[in-house]
Amino acid sequence: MAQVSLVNLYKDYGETAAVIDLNLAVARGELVALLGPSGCGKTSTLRMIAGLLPPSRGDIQFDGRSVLAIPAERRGAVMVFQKHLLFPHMTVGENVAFGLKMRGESGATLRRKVGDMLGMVQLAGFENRRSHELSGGQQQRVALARALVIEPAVLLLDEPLANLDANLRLEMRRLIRTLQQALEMTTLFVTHDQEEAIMLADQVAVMDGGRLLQQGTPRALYEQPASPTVARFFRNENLLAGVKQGLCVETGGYRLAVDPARAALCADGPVWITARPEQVQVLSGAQIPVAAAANTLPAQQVGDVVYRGGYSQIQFQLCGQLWTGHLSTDAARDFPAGGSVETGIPAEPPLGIHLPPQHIWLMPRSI
Amino acid sequence: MSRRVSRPVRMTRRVLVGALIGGAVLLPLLPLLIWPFAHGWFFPDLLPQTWTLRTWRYLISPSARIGEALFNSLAIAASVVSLAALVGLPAARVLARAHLRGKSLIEWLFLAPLIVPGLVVAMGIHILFIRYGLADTHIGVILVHLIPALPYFVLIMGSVFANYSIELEETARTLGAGALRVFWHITLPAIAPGLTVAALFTFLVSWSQYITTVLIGGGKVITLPMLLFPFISAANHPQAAAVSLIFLAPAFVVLAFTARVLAGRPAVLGGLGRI
Repeated sequence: MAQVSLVNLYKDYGETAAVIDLNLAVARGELVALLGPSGCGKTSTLRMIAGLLPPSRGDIQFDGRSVLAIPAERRGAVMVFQKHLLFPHMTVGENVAFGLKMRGESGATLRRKVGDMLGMVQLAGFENRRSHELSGGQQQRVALARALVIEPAVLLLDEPLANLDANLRLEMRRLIRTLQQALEMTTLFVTHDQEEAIMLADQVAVMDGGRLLQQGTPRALYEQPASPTVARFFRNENLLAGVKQGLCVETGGYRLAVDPARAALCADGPVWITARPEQVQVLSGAQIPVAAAANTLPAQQVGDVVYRGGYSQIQFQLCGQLWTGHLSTDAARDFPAGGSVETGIPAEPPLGIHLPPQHIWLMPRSI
Repeated sequence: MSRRVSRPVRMTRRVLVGALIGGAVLLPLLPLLIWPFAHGWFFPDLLPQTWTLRTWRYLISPSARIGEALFNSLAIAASVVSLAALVGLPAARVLARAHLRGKSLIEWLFLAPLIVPGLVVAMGIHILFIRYGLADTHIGVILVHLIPALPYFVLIMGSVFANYSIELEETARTLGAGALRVFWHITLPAIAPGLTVAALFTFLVSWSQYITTVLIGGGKVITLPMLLFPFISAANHPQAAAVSLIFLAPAFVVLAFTARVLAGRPAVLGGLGRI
């Protein structure tokens, strides 16, 4: 197990840059998810760490030593791809044994290690099966066993769960997390699924357009995104432009109070104001006078309330921006009709939107 | 889902189609089986009046040079296959996978011999080969056979590599296998069926070359087709038929082998198995 650092890592293919000055540290035994849309450079990053793609500039270090000069076969970073998982002409046992054989291991030790590892991925006794006799999830587990059995310095997973159906994906996430923690395996995990990143990772690194936007714990990224782009990755598109001064923020002629602890994290000046949909309090017309106090803005409902299972989703115009809020299923009954975006006729009656100071989050905005 | 047809109907249909194809291919070959044993076989007769082994006695005598021609044909074809693999494997792999500048031009150049008549090229090559001392040599003949053979090799292997995932090789590399071991343990087993077919086709192309062999070999390099043609033009039916039988043997081996190698193979060959 090693500690991995990427130092100003840069990769371009001719005119297009895939990875731009990436700095990232993965602590020993930690699982870091690289989250981003396809083409954001996350897979290129993984391939560079594995030694399958030479970087244009920058450095890759395992335990503080540069590994750029070490070819993939001796680097000790094992890659698990999402497709074409197993060597088709080999049995399950031969697949898992492959890396050990390449290291010159053989005989009883090899067989024991293979058997133990298959046990860990709940496939004990599958040694003589062929890969086409296995289900997608089983193949995935064999691929994982094949990677882990050689005790690599770093485990690199390239969207390994993308091809599995939803239930299986949950099960595999748990298995990967359990194994990773049991073996204290330094792991980098590429995904475009924010839910997967949140569930699995110790740290999430959000990438877009080849750049690292933010690195932090899943909770930090979810609740305190550094920019609107990061917020959008975590399904928060609520956004207002405003100006911060002290503990207040001004937008569209309204003043909102911000929690002092949160206000301290952002400099005065132009800011983006956001609040997660589940933390926005949506008040129907009747409730507005009561709650007309601080931090409540008028809004117009747009479209119908959509039942999402467990909660309902409502969309509204707030200071000219489209926002989303969540309602409890009971509360949703107070919002029967919707206005229409096409006709531009606002719904009656207007809504009140309460943004609690402790849930307002501010991000710096450049003009 | 295909249309459901009852089992007996399907069987009958299969037998009929088989008989039709078999008849079309095998019936014209029937005289070839009879002629080498015939002693005079004239028009109205369905079968020869007398049978003889005279043709075969002549063919196995040293003056017929069958042994020499057989050896030359085999050795030249085998060399052509090896060289085609040496050049064609990397070429097919790169053409199927890489995005490189001028790729379509390279592809076109590889396939050009299928379009340009070999005879035209062979004339020009002959002049060059005389200058380089390659005319009238086995090596010269091997090189000139490579021209019509290589496109087939590259075409077949190109389709194999197009369906082939390089990620298997990359996985093997990160698991500790160097370039040679990746080729031996991963690439070769994955492409083996396609490689077999490509090699057999290439072998057949070289095996059936006549004009290029005559031109470049200058009559010094004797292959089977060079024995066959004089017998045919001299209307020596028994001997032409006998040499034809020897000449046909590898084609049938190839056919049988191809069918067997490709039967029930996974998708790595794509539609190739259905040729």
